Formats: sequence, C-alpha cells, structure tokens
Amino acid sequence: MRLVAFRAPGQKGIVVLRRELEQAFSNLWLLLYSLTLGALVALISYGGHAWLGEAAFQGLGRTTASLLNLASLVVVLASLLMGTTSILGERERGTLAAQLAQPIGRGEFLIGKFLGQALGLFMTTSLGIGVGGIAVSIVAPVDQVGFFVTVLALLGGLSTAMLAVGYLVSVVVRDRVQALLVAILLWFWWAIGMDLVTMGVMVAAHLGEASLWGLLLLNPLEVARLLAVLGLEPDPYILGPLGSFLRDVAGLSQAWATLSAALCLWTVLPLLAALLLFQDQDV
Amino acid sequence: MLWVERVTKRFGSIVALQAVDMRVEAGEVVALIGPNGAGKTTLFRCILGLLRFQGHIWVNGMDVWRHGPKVRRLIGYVPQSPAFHDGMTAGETLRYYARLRDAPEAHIEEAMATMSLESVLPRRVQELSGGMRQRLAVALALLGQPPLLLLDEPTANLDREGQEHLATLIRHLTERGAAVMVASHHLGLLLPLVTKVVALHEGKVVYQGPPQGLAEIGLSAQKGEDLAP
Repeated sequence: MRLVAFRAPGQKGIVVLRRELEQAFSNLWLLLYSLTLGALVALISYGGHAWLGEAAFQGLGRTTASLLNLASLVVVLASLLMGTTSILGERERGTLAAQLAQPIGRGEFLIGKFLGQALGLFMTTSLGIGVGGIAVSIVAPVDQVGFFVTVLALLGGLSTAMLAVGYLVSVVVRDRVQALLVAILLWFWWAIGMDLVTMGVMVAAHLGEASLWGLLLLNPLEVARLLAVLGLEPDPYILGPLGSFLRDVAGLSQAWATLSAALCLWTVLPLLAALLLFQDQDV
Repeated sequence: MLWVERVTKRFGSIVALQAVDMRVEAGEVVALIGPNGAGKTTLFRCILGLLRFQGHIWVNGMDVWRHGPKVRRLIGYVPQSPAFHDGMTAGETLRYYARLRDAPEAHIEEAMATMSLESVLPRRVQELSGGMRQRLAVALALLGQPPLLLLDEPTANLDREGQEHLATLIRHLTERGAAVMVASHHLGLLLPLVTKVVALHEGKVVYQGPPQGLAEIGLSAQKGEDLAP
C-alpha cells in the first residue's frame, strides 16, 4: 500500500474545495437542513415554557441547553448521510473518474472535497442555528451567548467528525442503499443503542466511573454532549457520579483535553483510513 | 510518448488485459480496436492511473502511478460516456476543469471555439444533447493542450458533421505533434487518419501495426467486432 501524502490540499485541492462549497449553497437538502435547525431553535425556545402553560419564549441559555440534545441528533444524521454519499455518489455518476483523470492526486482530491463539504455543513448549520438564535434573542432574554457559541462550535466539530466517518463508509461500500443503511445504523447506535449497551454492561459487569468514562469516549455524540456540559457548568455535578469522577479523579482540565482530543481523533482517524483505502482503489 | 509494458489487469478471476505491450509516438494516430469487453476502456483507465495493474506504463518517461498528476497533465481523456456534475452549467464545467488542469483563460476560449460550444455555455449540462455533451467532453480534454489524447468511442454520439469536425481536429492536433489514441468499434471518418492499429481480443494484443496489415491477416479496422485471433 502506497504512503499517503500528509499535506494540506494544494491549489487543485482548493479548486475542489471551492466547488463543493459553491454546491453546498445551491443544495436544496442543505437548505432544508438549515431551515430545520432554525425552526428547531424557535420551537425549543417556545416549547420550553409552553408545557408550563405559558405562551412565551425561553431565553437563549436555556434554549441552547435543550438544543444540544435535539440538534446533535439532526447534525449527526445529516453529516453521516452526506459523507456516505460523497465519494460513492461521484463514483456512481462517473464524475469521480472524470475528475481523477485530471492532474490531481487522490489524497488532494479527497481532502479538498472533505474540507469543502465540512465547511459547507458548518456554514449551513451555523446559518440555521444562528438565525434561530438571533430570532430568539429578539423575543426573549439574551443570556449565555458564550455557551450558545460553544455549542455551535461543538456541533461544527461533531458534524466534521461524522462527515469523516461517512467518508470512510463511502470509500468502503460500493452500493448506495448499503451505504445509507450503514449511515442510519451508525446514527442509531450512537444516538440510542450505545447508551443502552453501555448501561447494560455497566450494571452487568459492575464497572466503575473510570470504565464509563472510557466507554463514553467511544461515542462521538456523547463526547460533544459532555464537552457542552463542561462548558455550561464549571462544576459538573449534573453528571452525577461521573461528574464527581471527572472533578476529583481525572481533573476537569484533563477531561476537557481528553474530550477535545477524542473529537479530533473521531475526525482524523476515519479520514486517514478513508485516504489510505482510496489511494489504492480502482476508480 | 507512451510506453505500455506487459500490462495485466484482473477483475477478480476475469483477466481484462493480458501482458499488453505497445508504444505510441508523437504525431501518431493509434486506433485501439476490438469487440466489447476486449479491454480498450480498461487500457485507457490504466494509462490514466484510475486502475491498478501489473506491469508498467510510462508517459514521456514518467511512471503513471509514481507521477500520477504530472502524467495526467499530459493526457486529455474523452470517456465513452462523458459524466458531468448536473448542477453546473457547461461554462462552469469548462472553468472548473480548466482550473484543475492549470489551463489559462485563452485555452478555455480556444476549446469553446474549436468545439462550437459558445451557445450552450449558460445551459446546465443535464439539458445538453448527447452530441453536445460529447463536444463538451472533447473541449475539456483539449484544456491545457495535452500532447496525448485518449478518445474512447468518440464518434458514438456524433453525426456525420460532428465526425468530420473531430477528424479535422485530430489532423490539426497531430500536425502540432500531439499523439491521439482512439478506441472504437467503428472508426468511421477517422479511419484515414490512423497511422497504427492495435487490435485487442479478450485482453490480448492480436495485431499491432499499420492499418493495411490488418487486411493481410483477414481483419477489419472498420469493424472491431470481427476481431478474432
């Protein structure tokens, strides 16, 4: 297997990146995704008080805290679906061969395409949630703007990681239906399945907080949620025994660094694997 | 210009190319003929580094795997079924590929004029007819003025006028020193331009030489389907 050239995308990679970015803004699905996120922000803000029988919008801080759980599910699913159909879609349409028949390296092409799509996803996510946040700020108290921005950045990080996982699937699987199925299964596993299994394992094997901490790092969705919680609460008491473990044993700054590194690894490792496989594949 | 040395390509248990040797020199027009499944397109894809293979392929002394992007800078490729990004217009497609090929604006203008594409530039590629898509594919292959052109069934979607246009283009290109490889079932109006024929059958080269030599062994360059060892 040939070695991958570990370098930033060159001029050709940037050409691919730009095309992907331009496509993102004319992509109806991404527009719909952006609108969904914006509507979600407004609904969460209104719904937070509606169940108490009050017809009023809740403030930005509370909205953001509720938003994280729901928006992360949408972001993860959209990013996985986008990633799994990326290289595979180009391969099916014949445009992959057309582009790789040009003077561009495969690594440069893949990284350029990935960065373009990641940036497009981040911008449409920011647009949807940002516009929703501004709308909420007009009608409700503006508080914890820093937390709102942190959650936005975390959703960006999470979508980039999930896009990378999607790219790996896209390079490995050669059938669109199979790829979409894998994306949905992965989403289900990280959104629900893994939590249930983790709880079951914890109870059955009488594992402690240290094991729980290790298992949570294997779920990028939980990694992003934990980072958000640590961003919101300097004392992570709301995490229960895990919070105590992080504060007293692991150390909060250590926990921050570990979670951030885990989210980065969830991006780098799948992308690297995709690059290595793509480098030697028949197109 | 192009050296192909003992190139073998397998897809699982199927041998698509078997120890193929051939050379193409500057200014030559080489017809790659053979029936469906003979390995014509596979050979082109190997030359472009799109497929892994055993053996060696060099373009201007550079190995296609080791110097992939540099080699592909020297090659213009027109695939059998040209594929474009549907959301883009013909003009955007030309500019995108020009940037990938480092081709200056003058080359875009020249390719557009050569293939008479000016009127369709604002149209989305999915709205173009088969003939226009073929013209666009040829225009893309001309960007950067590559010294080697690989044309896979270039006459398939072209009417007589289009074929004549392509024949004139190939004549001009070879006069400027470019080499052209044409893979085809039916060479049609391109046949008089051909200086060498490489006949493939079941992945093997069964004839390599001047077009006149084909008749001597009972084969026809006009009908690749008739090829048999």
